Amino acid sequence: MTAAKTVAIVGAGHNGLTAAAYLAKAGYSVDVFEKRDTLGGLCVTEKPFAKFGSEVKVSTVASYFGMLRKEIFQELNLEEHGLKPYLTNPIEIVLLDGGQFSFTPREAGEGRSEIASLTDSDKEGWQRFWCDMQKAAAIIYPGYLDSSLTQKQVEALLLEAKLDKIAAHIFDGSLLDLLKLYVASEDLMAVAATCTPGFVNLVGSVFGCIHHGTAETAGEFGAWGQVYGGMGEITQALAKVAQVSGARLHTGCAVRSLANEGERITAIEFENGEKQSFDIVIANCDSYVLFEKLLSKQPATQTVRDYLSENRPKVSAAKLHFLLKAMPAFTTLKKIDHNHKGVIVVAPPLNAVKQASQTVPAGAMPERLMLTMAFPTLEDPSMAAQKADKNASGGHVLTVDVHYVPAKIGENAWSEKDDDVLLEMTIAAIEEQCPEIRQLIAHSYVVSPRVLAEVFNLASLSCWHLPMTPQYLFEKRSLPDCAPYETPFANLYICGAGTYPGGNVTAVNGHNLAKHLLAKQKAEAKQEVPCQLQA
Amino acid sequence: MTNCQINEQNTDATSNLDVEAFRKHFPIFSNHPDLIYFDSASTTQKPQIVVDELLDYYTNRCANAGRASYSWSTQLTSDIEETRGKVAQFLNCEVKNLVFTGGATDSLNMAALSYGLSNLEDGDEIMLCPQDHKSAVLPWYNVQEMLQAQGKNIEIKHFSIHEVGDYDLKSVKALLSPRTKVLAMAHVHHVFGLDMEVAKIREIVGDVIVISLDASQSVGHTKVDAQALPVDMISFSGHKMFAAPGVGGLYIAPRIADKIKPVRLGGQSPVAITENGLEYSAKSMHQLIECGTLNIPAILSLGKAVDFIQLIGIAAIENQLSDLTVYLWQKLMDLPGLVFAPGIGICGCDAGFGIVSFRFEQVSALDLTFLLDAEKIFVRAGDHCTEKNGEEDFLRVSMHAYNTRAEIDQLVEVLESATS
Repeated sequence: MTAAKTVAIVGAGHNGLTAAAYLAKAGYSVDVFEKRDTLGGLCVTEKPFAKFGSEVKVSTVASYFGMLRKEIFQELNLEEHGLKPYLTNPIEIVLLDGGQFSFTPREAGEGRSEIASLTDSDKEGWQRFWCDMQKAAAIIYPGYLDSSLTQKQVEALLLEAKLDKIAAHIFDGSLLDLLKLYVASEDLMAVAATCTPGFVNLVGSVFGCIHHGTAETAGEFGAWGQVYGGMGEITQALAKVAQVSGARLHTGCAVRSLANEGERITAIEFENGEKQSFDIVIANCDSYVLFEKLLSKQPATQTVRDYLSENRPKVSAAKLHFLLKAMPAFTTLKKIDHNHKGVIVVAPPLNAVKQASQTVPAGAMPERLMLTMAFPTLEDPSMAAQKADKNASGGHVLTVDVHYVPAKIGENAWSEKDDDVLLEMTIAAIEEQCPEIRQLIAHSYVVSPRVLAEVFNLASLSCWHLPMTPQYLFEKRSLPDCAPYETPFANLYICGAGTYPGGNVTAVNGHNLAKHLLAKQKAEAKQEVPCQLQA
Repeated sequence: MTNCQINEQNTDATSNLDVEAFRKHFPIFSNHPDLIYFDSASTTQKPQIVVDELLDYYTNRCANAGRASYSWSTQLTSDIEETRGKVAQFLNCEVKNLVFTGGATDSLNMAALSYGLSNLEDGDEIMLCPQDHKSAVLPWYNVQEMLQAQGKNIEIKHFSIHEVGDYDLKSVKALLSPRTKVLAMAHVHHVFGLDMEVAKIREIVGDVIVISLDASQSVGHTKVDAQALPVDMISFSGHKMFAAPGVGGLYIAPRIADKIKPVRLGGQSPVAITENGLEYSAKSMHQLIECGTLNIPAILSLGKAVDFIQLIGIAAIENQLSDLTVYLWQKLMDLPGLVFAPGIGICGCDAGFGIVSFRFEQVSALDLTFLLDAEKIFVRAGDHCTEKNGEEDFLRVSMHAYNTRAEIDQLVEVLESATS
């Protein structure tokens, strides 16, 4: 009997844990090392206001459920391990300037909007646009779980489905160009601008929008929701599966460097000076941490470092959590008797987005913020404070995504002062829609690019690790001269958001890597047999 | 009749343990691939998360808890309370009824002293079984002696073990008197390995008598539910359920809570010195009984051990243990000269909790342990901390869920050649 292959996974993000679960199940001896005291990377539930005496929980970074693949959800029995996603109702309301809005409840056909510029043909075009985008998502969806889909193949699949407009724009145009083929209202374009992680007027935004369309919650394709207990429950469920399968998860265990002999990683050196050897090393941390820190002394990886430094994400995002003294009322929502559940989006005018697409990558704060907000405590009582809260009688939390902020302020890294600027800007932007918000805020927690770097060890400053633009999609989302998930080292692999098919809490990257390793092992075993027979 | 049925609600056919995956959590087995550890009733091996927790405390966050206002100290205080919540939930009791102690022996002594000294009166009687673990027996003799010094004579009456290995219920019934105030017993016996039928004992002695239960061999082996067990005090050790040595728990039922008087006081004790003596103002059993600096890393490790057990599932652990016990018994049955101690070997139950004791007519138990030790098979022989009654020593094989049938096969093979 041969001993099980030993695997070290650096970083216990959801993809690292997914790989751990699959590999441990397959009999590998798996150790996961997480620098933080909390498992989960960006997929965590935490209590940031505990120091103020409040026990409310927030999904600190990733906060919406939708893209975790149902195949993985089922294969790993995550439901049995406590993962309970749910759909919110309504879905969303997008707030535009001047009290205009577009409201989407869960019930189809019940939506309403008050947008002055809207014509009947816009309404019809808008329907067609989303219908086509959802079809495109359904076409791409199956391809994520094997890592061989190329941009050419995607275009061919779209053409085959007669989605010519999308095929023409997915890797060569912007969402704005595409939208113009469906609608004329700039306000609708501003609404659509909130549905892609990139800038609506730049290349890559079409794919970003489709990527987000590959969501599925509670059996409903295209639907986003939330998780009872916060996104950390995904982590907890994955961790349980991994552990039950024999994986050992170590928190508060920082890796200092990786040692190599030629093309093999021979040992992991930890911050406490200890060293340990493994047959296989998987880096779930972002590639900037891997190559600029853990392998920084490696001349052999200079090509990779050059590639990474040329392509460092210039745009980041931020998340703010507000502990509230009482539940606020948004003016427009109050007017239409909205229950303040689901997602509340603030969409800046199209021109402001276009302007930001030029200034933000150059290091300037956007003049107008694009916001996505929700009150998770309103939907899920388990997120709210369980005992009487000293500081916030309401105990509700408002979670706010700020879609795009510069990764660097000018040439400098974010400072605490910049966090304060962002905080003030965000409150001011919400005040436009909810005048009473400022006086209801008891405490704020700003997850800025600075916090992402310092607390979450995200050297790329981007939850995507690499941009989600055609330059880095499908066959191009690999390190230079490397196959997907592979590195210049024979026994070192990567499975973070910078790998195929990209970011979001999909668990696909970890899954695909594990399957890749298992297939490789099977192939090796086949090759070994004849040699043994000869011997 | 004997009762070594495992909890019915736990006998879920789907709760099977993946032993190979389970063993991976215990670094001792990868560091010593040839180790066969059969002394888990003494102490269990430790999973990596327990080891990590201990190391983390000593290397990253060593401070005292409950004393200072700086962040490390307050964090440790809250971690200890979080652990208490976790353990209380695990035992299905309220947090205020759970006391951290130094181990089961400490718990059993606390139980005897803090209840016995202030509640037993001249002429009262205590019932216990001299073949139980000395830690469950001697503290009551201690109480007896201390009360004697106050002029109170307490009688201690012995009930016995039935030949199959559980308590002789007839002797319990026969000894019962209107002056019986306390009964001490084991949940699962540490040598005989049977469920000692606490429900039947309660039925015999009635509702009023205080029962102190030694659950050292049941917590972490089978579901122990403080609210379902008809007892007043439950003692257990951390180190027999995967945690570090130096921590244990004592559950005190709400109905006797106001009768408890602490026997040790210290800096954190909720006591005021008044003209009339000491005045207590404790809101919980742990405020009343815990004092001095707690064994912080061991307590934290107990929290991790509970996490670990819950992760694997107590039902899966129990099924595996039961399967191993029956398998071992069936393999031993055929060995010539083997004499079973009371327990599964005599009663022939179809379930068990990992403990099988026996001896051979032709070789002493102690000699066998040396032979087995040479093969790196660790088992224990001796009096097993019970009162000697002139019988030969038994060899005790005590397993946990990380043991395998293959290990049992190896043990039996060595025993076979050593005794033939």
